[in-house]
Amino acid sequence: MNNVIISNALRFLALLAIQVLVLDHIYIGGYLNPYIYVLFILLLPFETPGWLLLLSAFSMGLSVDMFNGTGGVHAAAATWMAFVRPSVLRLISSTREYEPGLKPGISYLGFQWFFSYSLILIMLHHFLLFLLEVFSFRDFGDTLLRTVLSSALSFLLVLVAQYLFYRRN
Amino acid sequence: MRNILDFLYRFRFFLLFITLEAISIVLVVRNNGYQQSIVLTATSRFTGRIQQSYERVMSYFSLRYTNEALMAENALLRAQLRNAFFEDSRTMFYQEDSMFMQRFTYLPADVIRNTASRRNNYIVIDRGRKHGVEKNMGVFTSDGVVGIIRSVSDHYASALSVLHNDVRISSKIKRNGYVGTFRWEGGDVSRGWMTEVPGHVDLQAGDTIVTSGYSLIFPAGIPVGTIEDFELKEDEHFYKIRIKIAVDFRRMDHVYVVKDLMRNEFKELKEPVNE
Repeated sequence: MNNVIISNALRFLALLAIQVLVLDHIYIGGYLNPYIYVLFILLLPFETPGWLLLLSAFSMGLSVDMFNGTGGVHAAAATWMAFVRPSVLRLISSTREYEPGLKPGISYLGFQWFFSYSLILIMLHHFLLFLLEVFSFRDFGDTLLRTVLSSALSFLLVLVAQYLFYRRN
Repeated sequence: MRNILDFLYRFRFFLLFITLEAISIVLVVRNNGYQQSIVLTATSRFTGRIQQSYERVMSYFSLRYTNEALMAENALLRAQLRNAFFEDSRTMFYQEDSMFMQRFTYLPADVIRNTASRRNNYIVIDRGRKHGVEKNMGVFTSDGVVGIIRSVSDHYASALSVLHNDVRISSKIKRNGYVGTFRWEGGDVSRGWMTEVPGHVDLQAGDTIVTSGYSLIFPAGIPVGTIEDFELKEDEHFYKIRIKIAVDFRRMDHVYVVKDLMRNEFKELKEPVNE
């Protein structure tokens, strides 16, 4: 159990550092911002209690906000993502039970499962994020476009990270 | 009582979610009023220090570009030195002090935080109240206009970038002096739009756009960009002009903050008209 906490805490710090020190300084065409920190929320163990899920997502979002000076947009989006995670899990798990010890990752549940799981959550997260950033429904098409393009990029990064670091044993 | 506790317990996941969202939204709204909080959050002691050491490292990577910009500016300034002029009217120079009064002063500053990837972008610089920075001062580089100071703390100030929804720059076409308004409308960080230039004006692609000096924020003549393309719709009287922005917002290290010493005087003149 302690092991799980430590590895998640380390992942928190590593992803936060990559996010604010590297990714937040990359500009691609004015539309694309990858957000790798969502991987932390994606990879929290299945048995994480609800309150802990929400609080850890919130603190991750708030930390990113503090570095970016964006108030609470990342906190809001990350909390929202953690809130819908259990529902998304229920939605796509119909064929297979989540056994204890199983972790949300490609190596445990396969590519197809991970694809739908992370893409749905990333899209939901990015949509709220960009909506709050503009803080109005003006330029709504623009917001949607940014959501789709940035989600694709974040998803790609999440996949790369999965194949680089989370091979089973 | 029991029932209430029961209820709270059953919906604890949802209630916690609502609470955290409420906190976030309050932070967003407070921040969106972009008064003090931008500086407070973006440059609080902890994150501010990390940002600063980050910028210190990253500034090495743009040294080459910075050097070129400084050289170009030095050359320009050298050309304005007294020894670069032929002394045509001897009397002129002796009367300089009483004829010319200093109107603008400039303060160099380092950019410690800069965004260019959002719809509304900000710049944080390492000069603040203690160095004389105030709200509504202009910020520019040797390339051109960068933004307008929005909030100030003791050692830092944050500016709305030109790449912000609320920033409009009163600007004019350098060649013939016609005045319009420049604004960035999202998307590409190197393109913006100039409007309010009447349809009879002669325009050419490549014309330089500079600040008009009407705004009490920038002195006249600071580059904004160059005309890339323009169109005049049939039933409209004003051009819609596409501008290539002079400053590259993706690499920006050193900026100048400009202070208009006569600002208050102008404001006194303007106020009765507004009422």
